[in-house]
Amino acid sequence: MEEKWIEAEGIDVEKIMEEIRKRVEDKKKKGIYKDEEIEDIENVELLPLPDILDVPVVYEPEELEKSYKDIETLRDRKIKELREIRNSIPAVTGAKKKIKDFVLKIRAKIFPLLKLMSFFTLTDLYDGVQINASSIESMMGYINESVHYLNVYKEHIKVLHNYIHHITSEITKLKIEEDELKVRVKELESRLSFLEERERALEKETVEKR
Amino acid sequence: MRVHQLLTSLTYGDAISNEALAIKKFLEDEGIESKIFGYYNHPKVTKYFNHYTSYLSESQKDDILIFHFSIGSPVSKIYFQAPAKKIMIYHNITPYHFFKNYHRILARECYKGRLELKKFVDKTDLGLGDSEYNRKELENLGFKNTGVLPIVMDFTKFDREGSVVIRKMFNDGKFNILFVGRVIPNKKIDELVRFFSVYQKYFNPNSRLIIAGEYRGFERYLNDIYQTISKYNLKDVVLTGHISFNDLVAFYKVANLYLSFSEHEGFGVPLLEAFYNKVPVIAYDMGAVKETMNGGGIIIKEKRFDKVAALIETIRNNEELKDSVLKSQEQALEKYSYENVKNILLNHIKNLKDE
Repeated sequence: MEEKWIEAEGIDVEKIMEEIRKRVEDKKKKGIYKDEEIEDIENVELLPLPDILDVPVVYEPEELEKSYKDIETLRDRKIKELREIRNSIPAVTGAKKKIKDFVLKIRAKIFPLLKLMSFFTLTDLYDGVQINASSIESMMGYINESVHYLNVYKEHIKVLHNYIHHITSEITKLKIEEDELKVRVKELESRLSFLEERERALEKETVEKR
Repeated sequence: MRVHQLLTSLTYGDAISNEALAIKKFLEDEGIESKIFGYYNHPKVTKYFNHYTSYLSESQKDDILIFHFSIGSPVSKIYFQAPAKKIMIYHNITPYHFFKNYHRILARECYKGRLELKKFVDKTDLGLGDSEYNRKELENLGFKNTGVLPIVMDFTKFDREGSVVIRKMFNDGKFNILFVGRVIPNKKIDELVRFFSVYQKYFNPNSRLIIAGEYRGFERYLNDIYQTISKYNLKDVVLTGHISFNDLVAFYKVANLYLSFSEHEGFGVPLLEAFYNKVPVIAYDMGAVKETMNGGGIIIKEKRFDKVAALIETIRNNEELKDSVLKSQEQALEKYSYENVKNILLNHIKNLKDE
C-alpha cells in the first residue's frame, strides 16, 4: 500500500489518493508523459548569477611572489652545484704527486733567480693587473646597475600584475552588473506588460460602466 | 499595572505592526494602560507611536514590557536596561542557508540574528513564539519560560471585493493558482514555476500561476525564476511585484487554489488569509505550516509534481471535496479568533504578574 503523502482532516484521504493514482496512471498509459520527464523537471538545479561580492578586490600576488621565490631557489641551487664541482676536483696522488713535489723543490731553489728575472717586467705586470682591476670594476658597476634595473622591473611587473588584476576584477563586476541589469529590464518589461493589461481592463470596465 | 510594547518599526499593513496594534487594543479593552515604543514609525500610525528613548523614564518595576524581536534592532539596549518584567515575542528568523547563494549580506544578518537571540535568554521572563514551532526554537536556545501566542489576524479587512481591475483581468475562466509572499529562496517559487510547467502542459492548459509578492532585492533569485519560465516556455506565470492591499484582496477573490511549496515558515499568514477568502489550500509540510493550518486545507508530505497536479485536478473536478476542504479551513480559523488570541495573551500576562 502506498504511503500516505497527503494529510487532511475530515476528508477521505484514501479515496483522494486512489483518484490521484488513477489520474496519474491514466496519463502515463496514454503516453502523455513519463516518470523520467517529471523527475528531470523536479531535479533541476538552479544556477544563480555570480555574486559581485565574490570578486576579490584586494590583489594578492601569490603567483608572482612564487615565481620570484622560484628564481632565488634556482640561483641557490646553481651556486651549490658550482661549489660541489670545485670540491669534486681530485687531489694529485701517486706518480703525479712525486713529480709535482720534485718540480716544487726545484722552483724553490731557483726562486731568487725567478724573482730577479721578473723584477724588470713587474711594471708591465702591474699595468696588466690595473687594467684587469678596472675592467672588473666597470663590470661590477654594470652588474650593479643591471641588478638595480632588474629590481625596478620587478616592481613594475608587480604593478602591472596589480593593474591586470584590477582590470579583470572590474570587467567581471561589470559583467555581473550587466546580467543584473538584464534581470531588471525583464522585471520592468514584466511590470509594464502587467500594467498594460491592467490599463486595458480598466478601460473596458470604464466603457462598460458608461 | 501597565503593559507597554517595544519594537523596531511601527508601520501599517505588516504582520508585526498589526499585532502590536491589536495587543494594544486588547489591553486597553481590559483597562490596562498600554503604549507602543519604537525606533521608527510610518506617518499613518504616528498617534500610536512613542520614541523608544523615552521609555526608560516611564518604565517601572511593576510594569510588563513586550518586545517584538527583530534582527539588529537598536531598541534591544532599552529592553535589556528596563526594570519591568519582560516578554519577548519571536516571529522567527529564516535559516541563513536559504540566502547563502542569493544574498550574502542577508544570510550574514540571519546568521548573526540567531546568535543575537541568545543574548535575550537571561534577560527575558517569558519567551513567546507565534507558533509551537517558534516556541520550540526558543526552548532549544535555552529560554526557560516559553509559550505560544498566535498572530492576531484581523480578517474583517478582507470583507470587500478588492480591485475591480484585477478581478476583470484574472477572472477570465482560467484556473488561477495563487501564492502570496515575497519572492525569496525559502518560499521555493522556482519549484512552483517548475510544478506549473507540469500542471499546465500535462493536466490543465487553461491555467495560470500568480505569484503575488515583492521581488525587489532578490534579483539574482528572480533571474533563476525568469530562466525557468523561459526554459519551459511558460506563458501564464504572473509575477505581480509589490501590490496594494486592495489588489491582494482581489487576487484572493480570483484564486481557485492556493499552493505553497515553502520550505520555511515561522507562521504563514497568507495560508490563513486564503482560508478566510474560501480558497482551497494545498501546502507542503515544513516549519510551522501544518500547525498554522490547524487541520484545515490539505498538507502534502512530498513534492511529486504529477501527483500534486493530479490532486489539484481532483479538487477542481470534485465540488464535494472542495466544499469539505473549505469547511475544514473555516473550522481551523476559529483558533485565530480575536477573542481566543486575546484570552491567550491575557493569561500569559496574568501568569507572569503572579510569578
